[in-house]
Amino acid sequence: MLLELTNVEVVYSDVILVLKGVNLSVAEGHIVALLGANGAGKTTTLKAISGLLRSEDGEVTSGSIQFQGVPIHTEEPQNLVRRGLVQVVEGRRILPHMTVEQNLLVGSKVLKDRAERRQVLDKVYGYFPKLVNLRARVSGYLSGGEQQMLVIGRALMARPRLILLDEPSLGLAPMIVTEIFELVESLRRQEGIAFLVVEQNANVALAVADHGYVMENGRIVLYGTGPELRENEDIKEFYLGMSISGHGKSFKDVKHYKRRKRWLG
Amino acid sequence: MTLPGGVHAETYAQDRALIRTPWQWLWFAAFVAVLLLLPFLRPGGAVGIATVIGITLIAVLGLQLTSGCAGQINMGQSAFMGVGAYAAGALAVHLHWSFLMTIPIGGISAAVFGAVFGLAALRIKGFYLALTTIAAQYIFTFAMLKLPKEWFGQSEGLRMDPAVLGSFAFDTDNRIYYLVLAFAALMTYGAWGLMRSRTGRAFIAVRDNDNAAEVIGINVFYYKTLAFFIGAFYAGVAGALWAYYVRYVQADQFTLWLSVWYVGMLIVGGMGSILGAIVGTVVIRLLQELITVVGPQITDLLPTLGGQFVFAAMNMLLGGLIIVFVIFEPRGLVHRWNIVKESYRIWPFPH
Amino acid sequence: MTSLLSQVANGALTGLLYALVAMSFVIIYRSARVFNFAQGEIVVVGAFLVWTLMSAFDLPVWAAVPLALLASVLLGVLIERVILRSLVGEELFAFVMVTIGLLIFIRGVVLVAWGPEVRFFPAVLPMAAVKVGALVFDRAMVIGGALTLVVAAAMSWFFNRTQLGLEMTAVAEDHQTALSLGIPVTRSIAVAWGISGLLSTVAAIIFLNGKGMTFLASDIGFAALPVALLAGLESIGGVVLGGLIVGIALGLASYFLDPIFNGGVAAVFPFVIMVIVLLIRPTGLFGWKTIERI
Ligand SMILES: Nc1ncnc2c1ncn2[C@@H]1O[C@H](COP(=O)(O)OP(=O)(O)OP(=O)(O)O)[C@@H](O)[C@H]1O
Ligand SMILES: [Mg+2]
Repeated sequence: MLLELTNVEVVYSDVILVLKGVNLSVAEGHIVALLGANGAGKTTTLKAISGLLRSEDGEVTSGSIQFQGVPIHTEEPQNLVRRGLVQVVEGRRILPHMTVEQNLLVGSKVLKDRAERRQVLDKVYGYFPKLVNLRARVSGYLSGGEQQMLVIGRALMARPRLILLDEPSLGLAPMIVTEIFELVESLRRQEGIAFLVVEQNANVALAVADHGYVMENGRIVLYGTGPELRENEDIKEFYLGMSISGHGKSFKDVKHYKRRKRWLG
Repeated sequence: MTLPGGVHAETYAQDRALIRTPWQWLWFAAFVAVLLLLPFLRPGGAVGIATVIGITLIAVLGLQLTSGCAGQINMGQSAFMGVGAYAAGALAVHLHWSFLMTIPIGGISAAVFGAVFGLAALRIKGFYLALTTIAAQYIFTFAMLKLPKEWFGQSEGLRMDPAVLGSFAFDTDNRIYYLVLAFAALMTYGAWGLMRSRTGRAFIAVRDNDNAAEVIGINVFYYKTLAFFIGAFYAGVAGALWAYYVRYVQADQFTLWLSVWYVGMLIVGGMGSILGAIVGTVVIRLLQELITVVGPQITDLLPTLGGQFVFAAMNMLLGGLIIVFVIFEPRGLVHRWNIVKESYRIWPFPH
Repeated sequence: MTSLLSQVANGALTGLLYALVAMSFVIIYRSARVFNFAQGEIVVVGAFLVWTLMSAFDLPVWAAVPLALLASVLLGVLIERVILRSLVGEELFAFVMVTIGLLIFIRGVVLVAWGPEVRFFPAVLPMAAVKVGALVFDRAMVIGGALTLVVAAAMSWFFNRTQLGLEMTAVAEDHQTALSLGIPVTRSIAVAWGISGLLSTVAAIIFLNGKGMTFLASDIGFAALPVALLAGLESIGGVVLGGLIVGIALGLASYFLDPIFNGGVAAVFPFVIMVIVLLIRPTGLFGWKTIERI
């Protein structure tokens, strides 16, 4: 396994228990979707893996996280990036006053020299041809879709083996979301990069995912292959249902509520 | 807030009361008695020190309102104090007004000067604001030294007669002490009331998040200006009292360095509470006094250190103290004391 | 006429010196988002280091200056490691407070170590005046002005073109994002403090060359403050322009206003310009505006 989490518990500020024993794994070159309601602990899971948790006063208190067979839960983010594990954080965090190319270059911290940087940069521009014309633009003024491309491109600059992608579809038009997931798929196919994708838009995510996990309240409550999850009644109602019908289902539906309870228990 | 065991508020008034138990009443009464009797208990030096502490306390209370409660960093408190001193001084010297008039007017003059920076706070935020208030210092010094000599005496400053009430002159250390004590008590009570009022709560909302405050309908512009206005008013009153105490006003008495110290007192005492302002002022002023007393003795023992050693040591000690406090106890001495008290109260069963 | 020109030209040189000190603020602010109130004191420490090595230890210039520069880099890094490091993630207020504490503390250390006496700062740079036509300049200031321009160009290049510099700019933008990209944030900040310490000592040498000095030379820290703010706390190039603007305005103000006020305008005028500029542009002329779309 490329990445393996066993019984991971995370506590914020020494008291707030957010992850209550998460088990999850990502195989080399796979795309894995992590679904779940708001506040379920998806972002926390990603941060626990990438080591960003500590800068927010969070801590992995038990369980183990292994990347390429090595425990990493005490590792600094910079060493993880060097080993090929990069997180693309939630909310398209471009560096707004820097140009597009500067943004990309910042991501290439782990590369050896200028020549290597050039080479990887060209490759990234190959995947995101739109960015070529924007390279000298101040990135704060890019459109949301362009910014999302930029942050993914920036993560690629570190030549990762695994990218943790947090809600890439947030606030983007369906067309762009499809485009982004197609890109994810082709990066996996051509570069062999594995992805762990957190996504609210389950439909799009499961279309490309090999496996998926559903999280509730800091626990994994459902696991399956992409197609299995797409056929699952619960998923249909809670996630796909919402995104298809366009407005959320009411909790008055008792059956619905019971099924939800079953998950939680 | 933590309550002493067995004390329960049965009415809203009780819940808001400052003093809750008979013991607290006793301590409070003893404290007041000591303050009132101080000139008889410890005549001489102690009275002078207490007077300076009282004046400083008023300025620091003002800073507590502006910075601690409303969250607007202010490095111009000493300049605001200077404005109050000069305003009161000029009115007393040229127009022979009573101190009952000049002290409030000194306060208001400073408040108006301070409010200008409150207006700036609407646009300027964070570090930029803190640094803008430093401009107050430079503008104040320049103005006082350059305005016509007939007004503020330029570099010669203003020499003042003692404050008089009828035929009673506040011309001895003891008399001026009582005057300062009265003002300090009044201003402390005022600050206490203010913090518990609507205004106080609005200040805290503005401090915690001015965007959110705006959304829930708090007029951020008004409250930021008001925070500077009130804080500077306190400084102005303190300055005016200072003028009557030393009976001499000169721009060099009100330095940026002094403002820095006021901020330091807040940090050590604790931001955001009246008690924090009091504790910080008293502790740091007493430490300063202690060092001026002990310093010369050390210098006598080790003459190589030189006379300036005292001043230097004081800076090192207090600068170090501030750093340590920010790092280890950002909420100040009062907070630490509460923790100690709490663990004592529930000892030996901490859980 | 010559006297007006001379006032303006010398004002511009003073402005450039302020810009150099301001740069030492800006470099820290850019990476750590901390405004270091103690910067003036660090300038003084640098000055005393040079003085000690040259006057007390009798080292030659070529040994003393590099040693002092090295020591000031270490001082910057030390401050970051010991004090600022433990405050990562704290609120703005904590940083204001801690650098104020540092200001008081360092002044104490300076007084304990070197005392309040007036010392004669060695002439590291040549003293002979520079004459251009009828204008007369202090040679150290001319060299300093040129040096400021060179340093600013070098810093601009560093922060925009080199990998380390880009990483430091990224840290300035957003600590969390920088961290997620594998950039060691605390190390970047330590580097910034080091560079800033170095610039402070350079500024001290130019400012005090061949003059008498006391611990009060730290006032230059506050004098340079309007330049940093007027320019905006993120822009290196902007600081140079800000320095020139303030300097030239200062020259003009001294020429026209000093006769009216009997001197002393130079001390207050930069602050007045600063307040006016900030009221119009709250993040300075060239500072980073918050980009609203996100
Ligand atoms: N730094 C923190 N300190 C304390 N609690 C936190 C912190 N960060 C997150 N939490 C809490 O942990 C829980 C999980 O948060 P997390 O961000 O992981 O959820 P999420 O599944 O990513 O949600 P969303 O879909 O809304 O992004 C939430 O209840 C949140 O309030
Ligand atoms: Mg999330």
